[in-house]
Amino acid sequence: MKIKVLKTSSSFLTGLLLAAWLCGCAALPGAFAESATPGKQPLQRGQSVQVIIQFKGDVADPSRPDFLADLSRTVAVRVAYVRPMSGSAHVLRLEVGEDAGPIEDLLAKLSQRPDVLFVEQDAVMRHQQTK
Amino acid sequence: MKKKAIGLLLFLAAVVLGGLVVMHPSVSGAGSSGGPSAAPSCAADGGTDRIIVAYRDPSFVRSAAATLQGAHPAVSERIRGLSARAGLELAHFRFMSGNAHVLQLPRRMTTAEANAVAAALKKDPAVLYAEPDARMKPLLVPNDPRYAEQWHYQAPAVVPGGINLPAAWDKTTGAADLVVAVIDTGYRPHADIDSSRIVPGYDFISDALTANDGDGRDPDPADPGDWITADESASGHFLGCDVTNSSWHGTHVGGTIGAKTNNGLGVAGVNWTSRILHARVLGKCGGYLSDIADAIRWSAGLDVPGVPANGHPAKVLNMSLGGSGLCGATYQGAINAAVAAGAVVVVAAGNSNMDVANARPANCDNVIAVAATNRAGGRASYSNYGTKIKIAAPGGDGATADSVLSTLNAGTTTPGADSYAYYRGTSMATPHVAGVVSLMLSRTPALTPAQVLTRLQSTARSFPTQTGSDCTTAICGAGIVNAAAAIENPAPATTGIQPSLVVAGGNAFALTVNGNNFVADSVVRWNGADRQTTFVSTTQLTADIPAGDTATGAVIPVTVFNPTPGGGTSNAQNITVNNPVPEITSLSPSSKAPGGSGFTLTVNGNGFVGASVVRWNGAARATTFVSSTKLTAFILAADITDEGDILITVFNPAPAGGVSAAKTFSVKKILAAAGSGGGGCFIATAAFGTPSEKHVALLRAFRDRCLLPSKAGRAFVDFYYAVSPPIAEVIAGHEALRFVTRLGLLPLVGAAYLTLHLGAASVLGGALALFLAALAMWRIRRKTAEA
Repeated sequence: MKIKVLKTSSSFLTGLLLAAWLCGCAALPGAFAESATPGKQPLQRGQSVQVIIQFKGDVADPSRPDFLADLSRTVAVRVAYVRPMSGSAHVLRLEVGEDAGPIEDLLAKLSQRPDVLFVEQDAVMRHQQTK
Repeated sequence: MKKKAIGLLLFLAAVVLGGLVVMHPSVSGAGSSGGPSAAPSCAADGGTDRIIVAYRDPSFVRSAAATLQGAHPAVSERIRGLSARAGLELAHFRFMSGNAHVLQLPRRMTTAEANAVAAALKKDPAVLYAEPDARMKPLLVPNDPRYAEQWHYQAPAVVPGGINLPAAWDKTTGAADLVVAVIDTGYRPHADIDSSRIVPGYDFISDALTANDGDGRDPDPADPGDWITADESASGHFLGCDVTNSSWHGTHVGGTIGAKTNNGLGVAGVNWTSRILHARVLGKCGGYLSDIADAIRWSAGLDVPGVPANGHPAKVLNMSLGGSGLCGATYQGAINAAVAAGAVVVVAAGNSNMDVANARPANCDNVIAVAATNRAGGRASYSNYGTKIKIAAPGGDGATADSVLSTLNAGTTTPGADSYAYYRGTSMATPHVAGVVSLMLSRTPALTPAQVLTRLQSTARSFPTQTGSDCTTAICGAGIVNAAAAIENPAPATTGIQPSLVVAGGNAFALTVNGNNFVADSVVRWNGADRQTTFVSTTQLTADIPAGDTATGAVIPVTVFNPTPGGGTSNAQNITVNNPVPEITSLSPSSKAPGGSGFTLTVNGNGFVGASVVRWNGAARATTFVSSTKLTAFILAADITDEGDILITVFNPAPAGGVSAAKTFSVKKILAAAGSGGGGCFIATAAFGTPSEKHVALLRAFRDRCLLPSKAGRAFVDFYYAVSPPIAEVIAGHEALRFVTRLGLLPLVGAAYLTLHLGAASVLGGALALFLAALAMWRIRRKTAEA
């Protein structure tokens, strides 16, 4: 009897753990997959998101470590400089160390900085051929 | 010498006569029955050198055709009659079916000239109809073996969903100096794509895994394949991406725009000549917005950090890509920059069967967003729709053969052999429009992006109905792109003008012209003359009409002209310029003495126009228009021979116009009757100040009682009054002259006084006595001096 209970319990626990693991995996989107779920989704540890940002004219070199550190403090995630782009904009990467809020919230925080002209996610586009 | 001169004259005469003989039509063969004339020069619009005439009585043709045709006397007689009606020499060419007769014109004529001849012939009661024997040409049909499967290029009469390309190809197949950018997955070399038309592009994909070619950005936009395996989709960088074979999407799109055409191989492309620039931005599972924005600017010739300058800036950018969301600053900034650089940006509407308002970059400003239609011309089932759609084009739907056929590669992952395939999507619709835009710019390079859009939309074909998924202008743009119409300016048409009635003599004003098919280069014409025109929309123009255009009443035709290619002159709308009713306020002079010479009468008033005429007792006089408030007219000497009151009026002709109220002009003697004490004595009046001054009054009394009663006296007075006024005017203006004149007149005044009181005889006797006394004294003095 005792063994039966143990077996049942362990099966149940294993099932729970498996379910938890699957849910956890499902919660981790790929770097290049479009989000199919409407609404804000929190960023999770290990995730990185590219953003396009344009600063106002008085920001001379946004790739400076001290400036990036300041940006990091704004969004509470590590901000890495990727490259300059056309139109006087820059590509940055937000590297989530600890679980963070949705990307929309991080973008909102950045856009509220007085030295930011605009910021948006460096979204992925697809070709428009259909099956 | 004399003989040599005669000989030279004879020689010249022979040359002239010989030339006349050679040039006579009967010798040159033109107009002779039974054969065509010598090859004429080509008319600018092709035109024709023949007219087809059908007769009401078919027996004429039958009997004439049964004999020697052109030599039949009835034929000759009939042709003589027709020639007389047409006002030129026609000749028999041949009889044809339908009881018709083909006549030879004396020369090749434009279509318009030939139509005029036909119209004249139709007035002959024996003629049933007449029309130019127009020259027809087969539409250009490429020899590519799979061209017949490309229904999406056909004329709508053949395939309702086609974009009418064959008729466009008759006019242009593209220009080599134009570049079209394909911002896409890159391209594969293909036997049916001319490698010499591919200009150096760039691979903008910055993520090496997405690029799938071993690195990030590089100068090679070749497409290595964008397949996604099941494993890749399950985890890692491409987690969640659709499992798919390589699409070779850029190769398919590029083939629609510019596959090698008429080369006996494969398929045709919209543009046979222009060059293609590939900017690779889409790799495995798509591409980043930042890379796409850089590619947009670079394709248009703008700088991108870290990327070599583009040596072949494109005038058309094809973007068969997109995603969800609002446009955003990145997309809009890049698009605006490209458009400002002169590029036309053509983008796919998206395939989510939703309102395009949430699909970017189709929802951005300054783009031509393209919806997809099917073979029947209805909306493709997947195509996004909405008010931000500018135009529609074939994207295919349903059966495979009803999709869009273009170049492809057979490799499922890495590149394989060249192939062709049917694809569908707004991706496929977009290069149809980009290709047509490239044909437009090949023909009219100066078109701005805004003008391109205006013309695309104004020439678009109406959506077919009863397709089962009808497009409307509310959801699918202005219509289905019409290649043949888009490469030309449309012919304008007017529906109304405002104002349509003005009064002559007014100020400059703005004329509004309403109609259809107006373009940015449309010009409003006032009586055939260009006027400064502002393009408001395809249905409205405004023109600045100067005051001079309405100085005189008239009915003026107003037309709109669209320049070539295509274009033309619209129907006319008439504006009526009404003449006002004139009014006279004063005349100068207002009177004249009879018997004088002709003079210029100045008429002051209102409502005068260029055609105003001054009338003297109802008779017109030569009138000069000075302004809307002043006229001058020359009055003849014969008009003022007799005293009397003359009615002066001003007449304005139609439209409207009329006759003014009369002003009186007096022809009267300046002098009064004898003894009346009338005015005059100009010099005395000027010297003494007023006519009533006692010295002046004395002189007037002397005039009235001593001079006027006699003929000689009257003649003297007339002479005096003719010459004295200007002298009096000078005296009156100088005080010193007045003083001297008063002194000089005193003896005359004294003599006048004595005459009036003692009589003329007494005055004369006294004057004689004084003279004799003076003479005696002079003789005494002389004798004294001699002694």
